[in-house]
Amino acid sequence: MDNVKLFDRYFFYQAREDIKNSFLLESLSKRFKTWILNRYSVKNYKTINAYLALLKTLLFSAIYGLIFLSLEVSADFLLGLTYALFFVVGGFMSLIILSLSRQAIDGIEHDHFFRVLAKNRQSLIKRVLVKRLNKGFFLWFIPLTFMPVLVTSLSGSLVMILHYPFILITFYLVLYSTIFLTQKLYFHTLRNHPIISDISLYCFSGLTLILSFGVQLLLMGLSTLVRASYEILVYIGPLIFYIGVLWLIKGLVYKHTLNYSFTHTVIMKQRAYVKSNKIQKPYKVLKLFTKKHKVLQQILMKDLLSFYRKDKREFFSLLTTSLMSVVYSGFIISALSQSEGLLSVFIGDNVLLIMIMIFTVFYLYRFKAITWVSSEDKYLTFYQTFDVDHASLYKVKVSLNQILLMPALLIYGALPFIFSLWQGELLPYTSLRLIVIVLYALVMIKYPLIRDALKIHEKRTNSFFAAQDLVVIILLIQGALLFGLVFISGQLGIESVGVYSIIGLFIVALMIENFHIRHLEKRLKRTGEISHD
Amino acid sequence: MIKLENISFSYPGETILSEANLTIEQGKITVVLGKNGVGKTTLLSLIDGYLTIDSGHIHLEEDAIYIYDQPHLYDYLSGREYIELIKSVSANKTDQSLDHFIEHLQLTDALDKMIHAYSLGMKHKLALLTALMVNYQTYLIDEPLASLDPESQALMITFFKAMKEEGKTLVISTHMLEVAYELADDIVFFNDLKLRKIENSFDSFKAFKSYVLESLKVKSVSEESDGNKKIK
Repeated sequence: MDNVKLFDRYFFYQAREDIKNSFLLESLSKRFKTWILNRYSVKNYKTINAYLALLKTLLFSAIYGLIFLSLEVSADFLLGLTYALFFVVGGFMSLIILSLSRQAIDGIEHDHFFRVLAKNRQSLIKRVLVKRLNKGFFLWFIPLTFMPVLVTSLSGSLVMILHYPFILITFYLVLYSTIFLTQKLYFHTLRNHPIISDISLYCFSGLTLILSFGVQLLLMGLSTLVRASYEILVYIGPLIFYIGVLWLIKGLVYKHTLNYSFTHTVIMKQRAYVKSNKIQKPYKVLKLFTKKHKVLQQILMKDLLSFYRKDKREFFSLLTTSLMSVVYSGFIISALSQSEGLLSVFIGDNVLLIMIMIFTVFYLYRFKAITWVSSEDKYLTFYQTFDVDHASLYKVKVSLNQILLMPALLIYGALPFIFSLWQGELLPYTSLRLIVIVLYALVMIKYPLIRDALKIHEKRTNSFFAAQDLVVIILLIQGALLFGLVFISGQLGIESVGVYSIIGLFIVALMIENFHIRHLEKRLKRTGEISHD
Repeated sequence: MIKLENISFSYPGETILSEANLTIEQGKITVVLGKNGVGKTTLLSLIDGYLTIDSGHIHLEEDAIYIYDQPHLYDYLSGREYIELIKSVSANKTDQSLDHFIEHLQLTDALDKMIHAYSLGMKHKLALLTALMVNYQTYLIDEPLASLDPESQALMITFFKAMKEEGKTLVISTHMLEVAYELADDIVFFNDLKLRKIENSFDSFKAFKSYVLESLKVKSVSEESDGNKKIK
């Protein structure tokens, strides 16, 4: 039986679950999500997924297109920025996909379906690896790079339109082959050397970039050396040959690799378990977040370890977000140093801030099985025997979320601020935006958590804070801020006054919201005392 | 028949088996007995091919299926959807025989519930049912009765015996002596990084029970004429 058809139902169930948990669809419209789920079947799920990928591409393209259009930089700078984007997104995608390929299926050692498959186990793993690559490629790489390429091309670097399809093809083929070629290395040769195995992931990610984008750049360089009418052929000719070779390798590696056992996976899991048993004392840095309460420190450490060990994928996506915030900060710094008016910087800054805040909300909800008070539901009574009430548990969870989510936000806030220390005239703006971002982040992180904690504490289930509400609030506040700014600047022609007054109002709004959270925290503590009586 | 010849296996820092031998005969129920952590699950995983032996040979004449003691069954599906999933990769069993098994395992009312609402015992039943759908000759079953109430235990024991009547080979791990006595044709246990097998008779079982109670030390082991080892 054809293996693609053999596992159709398996992938259909997974895809259906992805849609059920889709934050994007939830945020767009619950009705739309239900409409899709009602029509979703094993026969049409691939078609619907293709449409959803297109929708995601369009959405990301709109956001990234807006960012690139809002940057008033030269065409050459934009071209360089686009190549930098290829390297950053491509590098992280390689790293994540290669590291995930070391454990093809989550919980593989207990998976009954996988055990039942017997001789078809390898086929399923192959399909999972390819599906994951396709998903990363069509749902992340293309949506994140398509619009920047288009904007760069339209701004004068038309050559980008020619490169893009070749970049997509070579990157896909190189990454595909690398995934399968490294399997034997990870499951046999390096099975007892986890550190070398981890380091090699970075090496292979680098190699993937060199063999895809690097070769592209090399051929481009060679073609520019030949100043003749057949210049384009010098680029395309060898590239087509190279793609042909990669295509052959792809077919061969798919057919011949993966004759390994799963021992490595199980042993790696065991090693992690043994390591966790050996940890007696909490990390010193955690004491900063939980004062001197030992049980709270242990709860925080348990969550961090669980997050790091069980959810490597999430850990890497958080790293990606932090790295992306470095890239975004780069946009802001370059715009600040080049642009004459603050208005254009502010528009771009606003769009990026919306993105980062949406990512924050996204992660906040995505990790809630570990990072919310409700995740400790069955242990709450047990914790109370150690004087850990709902209020203190809430604080631990706030600390946990801050540890996880704050780096990306702080990088985004702090880098332009540090840059402006050497550019005196920009300091007021960057200081204000740093304050806004920190206040904003505190509200974003604390608000759903306090609502969750109160819900648990007061045993309420009727009203609960929905994920999309927070996104809508962000979009409304940011949209109003942007509109107000453009309106004031356009009408009165006093940009700087507009900028600072709007930011000032924004800070006041956030501070009021912070006070509201404080009020809710007191309620959590007060009712807690009552319930103890 | 399953034949293990001079097999060795270690986890980092811990040896489980060293040059161990074992023969499991077709159409019989073999119970692997031992305390928690001794290596019962590892032994079943080695036979299944899920873990790779460090040295030695394992001869497996037919495909085997392993049913884990805490089967991961995709909580987001209903029991019926999970059955559909397994059916999509097997299609060996007819709906009629499937209905019979569902009824026998008392799963009919639970099929439309989500798996996350199942008790561990229910999950075991569903895992066993779906394993039967793929119609293997050999079933490696890890601690199937540990999480069941007495009524369900009795039901499962009857079910295993019925499977044996159909000619299936069952290798079942447990730490429950009574279960071993009731179910097993042969009993396998770990001793000094080796595997020992005894026939399940009243005398041998009594001897084995004494052996367990006397600080798990085997006094002497001798081989029977058919190649099986028996405790004196």
